[in-house]
Amino acid sequence: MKIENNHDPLFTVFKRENITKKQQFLIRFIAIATSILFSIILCSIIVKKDPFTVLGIIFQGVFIDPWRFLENSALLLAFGVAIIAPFKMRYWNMGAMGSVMVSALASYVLINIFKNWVDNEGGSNALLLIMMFAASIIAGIIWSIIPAIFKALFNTNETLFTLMMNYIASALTLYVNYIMAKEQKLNPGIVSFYAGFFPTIIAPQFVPIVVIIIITVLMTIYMNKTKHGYEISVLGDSPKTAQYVGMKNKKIIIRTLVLSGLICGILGFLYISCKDHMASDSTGGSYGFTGVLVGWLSNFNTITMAIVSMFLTFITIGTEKVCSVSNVGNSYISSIVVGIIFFSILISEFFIRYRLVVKNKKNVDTGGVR
Amino acid sequence: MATFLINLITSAVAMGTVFLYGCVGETLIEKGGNLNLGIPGVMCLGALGGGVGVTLYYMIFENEIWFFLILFSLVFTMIFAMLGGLIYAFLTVTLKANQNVTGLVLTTFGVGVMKFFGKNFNLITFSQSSAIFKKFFVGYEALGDFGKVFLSHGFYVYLAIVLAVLVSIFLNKTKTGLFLRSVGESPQTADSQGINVDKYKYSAILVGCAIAGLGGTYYVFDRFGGQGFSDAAIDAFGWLAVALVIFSTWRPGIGILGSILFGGLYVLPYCIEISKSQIKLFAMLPYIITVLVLILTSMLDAKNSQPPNSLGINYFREER
Amino acid sequence: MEKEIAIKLVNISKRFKNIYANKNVNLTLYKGEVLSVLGENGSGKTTLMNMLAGIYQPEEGEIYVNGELASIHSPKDSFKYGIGMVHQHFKLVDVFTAYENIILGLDRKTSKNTINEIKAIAQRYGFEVDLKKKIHDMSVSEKQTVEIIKVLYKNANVLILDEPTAVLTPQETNKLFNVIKKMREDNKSIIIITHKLNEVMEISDRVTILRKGEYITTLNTNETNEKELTEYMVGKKIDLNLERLRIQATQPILEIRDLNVLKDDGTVAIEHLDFYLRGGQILGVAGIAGCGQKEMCEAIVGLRKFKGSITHFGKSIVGFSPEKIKEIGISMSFIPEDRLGLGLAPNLSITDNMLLKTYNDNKGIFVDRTRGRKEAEDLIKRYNVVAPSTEVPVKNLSGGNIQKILVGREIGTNPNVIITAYPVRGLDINSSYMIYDILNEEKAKNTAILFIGEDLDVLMTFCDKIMVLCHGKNMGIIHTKNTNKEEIGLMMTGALDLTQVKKEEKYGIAEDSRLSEDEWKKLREEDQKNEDREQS
Repeated sequence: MKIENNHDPLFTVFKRENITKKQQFLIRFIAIATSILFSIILCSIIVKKDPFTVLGIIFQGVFIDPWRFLENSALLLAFGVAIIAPFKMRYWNMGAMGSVMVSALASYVLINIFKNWVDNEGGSNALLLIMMFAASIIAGIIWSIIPAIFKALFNTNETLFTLMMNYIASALTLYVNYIMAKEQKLNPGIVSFYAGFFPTIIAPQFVPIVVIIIITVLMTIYMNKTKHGYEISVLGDSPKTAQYVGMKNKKIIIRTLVLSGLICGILGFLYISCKDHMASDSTGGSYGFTGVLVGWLSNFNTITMAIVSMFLTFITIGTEKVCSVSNVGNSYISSIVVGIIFFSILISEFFIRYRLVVKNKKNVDTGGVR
Repeated sequence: MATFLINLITSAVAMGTVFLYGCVGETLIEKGGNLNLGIPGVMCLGALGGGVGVTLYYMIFENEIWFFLILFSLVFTMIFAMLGGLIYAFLTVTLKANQNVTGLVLTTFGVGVMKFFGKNFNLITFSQSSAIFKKFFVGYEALGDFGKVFLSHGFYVYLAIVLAVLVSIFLNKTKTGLFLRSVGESPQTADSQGINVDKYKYSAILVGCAIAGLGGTYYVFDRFGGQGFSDAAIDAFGWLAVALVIFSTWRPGIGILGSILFGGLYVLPYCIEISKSQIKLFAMLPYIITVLVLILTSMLDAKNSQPPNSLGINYFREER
Repeated sequence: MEKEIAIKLVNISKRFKNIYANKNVNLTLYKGEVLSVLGENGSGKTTLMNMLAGIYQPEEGEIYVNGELASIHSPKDSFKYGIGMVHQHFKLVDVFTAYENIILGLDRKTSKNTINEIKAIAQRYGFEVDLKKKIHDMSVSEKQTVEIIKVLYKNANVLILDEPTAVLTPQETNKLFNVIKKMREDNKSIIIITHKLNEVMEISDRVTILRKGEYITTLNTNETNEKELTEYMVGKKIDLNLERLRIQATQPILEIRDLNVLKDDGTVAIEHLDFYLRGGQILGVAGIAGCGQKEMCEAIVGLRKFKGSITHFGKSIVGFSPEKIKEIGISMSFIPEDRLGLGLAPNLSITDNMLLKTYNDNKGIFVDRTRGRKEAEDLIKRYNVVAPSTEVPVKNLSGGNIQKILVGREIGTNPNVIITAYPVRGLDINSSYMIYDILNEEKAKNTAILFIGEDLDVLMTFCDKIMVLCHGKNMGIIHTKNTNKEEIGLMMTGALDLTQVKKEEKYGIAEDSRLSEDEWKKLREEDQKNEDREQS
């Protein structure tokens, strides 16, 4: 009797050493295709329609309003771009959502203060927009660097800290909204239709999309070509090495989170000046967490991130449309679908990193693996 | 003043129970080395399971029989929550997927599932059942304030405290608990001593999720009157439960006190005469306190109040 | 005399990355004997033993325990067969007590009696251990004691000790060997993994030699000698004598006086240390692992706070940033145990790793990767680094090649002072010699070299002088031609302190210092003023 006897597990897991780009692509493609198929079938069961009709409605839902599709994709991408620098540094910033919320709040507060001035007293809307931009950026940066400072000084766990900051931000937003409503005896829902509005170019969604594309391009260059980006990748890979070659780790952490906060700040400003025109505890929506997932699973590659964002937005808008035309359920169907897609991507990651070897012969070939 | 305090403590205990379930479950999971950010999702799945259990109950029984109603809710809550846990365990333990990412996906998924499917329940029967959830001891009124503070709650409140104590004893006094902690501290060591790391992680995650899920059902049926699955704020409570784990420095015993504190902070604005704006401000406090605890423990660098050493890191034996 | 066989390995093979870590290895272990498994680093000793301990599984071959075919898939299986292994990196949970660690994984019920049973085992073999003490409060040798008791308590009849003496003082080693002898008297079988020949000769009955994953031979210890073992171990007859370049040394370049450094946990790492480095001279540093070497290196290159004076060409460098120190020509390469932790970023390409210290040299905000690529290509060519391209992550290279890159990069910056710690750690002989050659080349260029090493033989033959550290104190600095291993061994353990024996000699203070004593005094006063200001 050999060692490989019937007590052996059916297969053994080995770590992959080499995997070609083609194999990687194939595995991911299979995962995503399967999950889409599964999602469509799920939808068709829920709405009791055949899968092809469902697929038709999905496409229809997306292309009936292409600006919305593009804007949602861009926003998701932006949330991903906001966290890639910290993530590459192994700083798990879950707080982009909170930073965006407070920076939107900052802009919104300014609108409320100055709207009468702009609307009725001949104040300059451009000046207001500049002030809003500055306020949003400052708010976003402050929210983002508070956990970073403690991480740098005491190595405080940033995953949990930034998560908590999100909820503090949402409570703060509700509080300030309430105060404003009370002080000004105004319904915070009703806003001016001019003050703090960014002029519409081509379409209301055009400016945010362009700004986000510019940010994405700049971040790609920053991460891959600059000394700062280089320092981030060294620090993320080996903090000890970074210290040994004389990099100032604390400074890099804080600087990177300033940048992350800056992007969140711009995003918050865009929400108020171009999109929602008011701040609430749902500003940023579910993009906060989904952005984290997009950033992480795209392996910090901005082009992949853009594709993934568009794909997720496509399926989200599509499935929501399916449910709304069938009068079934609410928009939460998209959360379920996103969940299924990510679960299946996570499974595919396993097959990219590891390899199963079925043990059924005496001399098992484990070539190429360890 | 006395009445006020009694009301406050009573509601604090009742509200805190939601967090306590999540905290006890998550503590168990984290002691096995897994940081499960999917707890909010698991609590939602649990609540959905509770709804399914109660619905099934009404298919079989016509009147409310305390024992069977609670039993149905318990069993189905745990089954649904464990299914969520099973996904998480399979991905992170067997497939070694990133724990943070998997947890967040599970939260997204769980919240979506509950809010999407939860709208189909029969809310009229649910509000009837809510009364059953709220009663456990009879005749506590005779005991005055003592009865009100300690005996006026539903079964789930006492179950939470019992579970917290049991988990605490399990972790600190039993050999199996010691083995589980060794898995969370150093899976390499545990493995070299013949402890089946994967088995322990799976068990901790499944049991932990089952416990956490009860918090969801408790909230919906006891606190929320069996109403509105689609607008229940369980996910926000889930994050508070995760916060409570840190606050309690991974000790379920302290978690009981912490849950009352968190619950108190949550209900305080509703018990005192303050403006609505201050209510919003109060909502921040539990999170701020958690942040302070996080900062404090990291500043002091206290050896006995640190997270399990391998928290968040997956284990693969042949990795060198 | 026919002995009973405890364990027999037949034709065991195991591959990592498609390279054989073990190929057709055979091994026989008798009951009541001590068997050494001898081999260089990377010869597959630990891998082989990990298969016995159930950590890895063999791809081919058979394991027999007590004559019966055994099936070992997990550490648990291994216990069942009475095999216990003490790993080189201890498998202990830091926040647990000794007692809790010992009962980990135990199937039996524990009771009050358990403690007594453990104490009985400790007494029988002469261990002293406080079962309630937490591991993080223990010394290395205490931790090892806990490990051994743990294995014994699980009724192991076969004990595998992986490099047990690497972290022990000679005295502690003696104690351990006494314990091993007692276990042998109890008819237990012991396997010691080692690459130290003297220990093989001292403790073991037989010795099995591995080379590059292959089984070479098994010998009876009393029928062989160190020279023969070396030949089997390294394959060909090697010239044990390293070349010691003899050149005229210069005036001191780096002078250090009254250096005091603390460890991370606030305990003393280095105490009142004086020494100096001359150009064209190699000063070796001997000492047990962890007695201040790392902290000393970090202090010199500005990575750790210290008290005391350091001058470079007669000018104080106290308070300089790591960058500034790099600029004035002091380079350090420290090879840690995992080889990758310091000095290299494992997931980055060779190009990016070349740029680690110089990425900031060019103007502008962009990294100059063209330069990095060129430097990487030069280094690959010069030191025969085996790498598919300059863009592969460093972690994909083999250990020797990784070290060549690190040491090569450090020397490439044209330093006037080289501080190098364990540069040949884990390297095969040829790669080691390449590193020694590189250092000798630098020495010929009148560079001052501080060489922190593990192997006393290498230190004795390669360095001009040796400084011995014991718990952060200087035990004396001696010319290698005037000393022997025994003397250094005594100094390493603190049994001999030359600075106390010959008080009249000023150890570590150069007669031809670049500064006069008055200037030193002034410097010291200034440093002290700065320290006081910092404190207040």
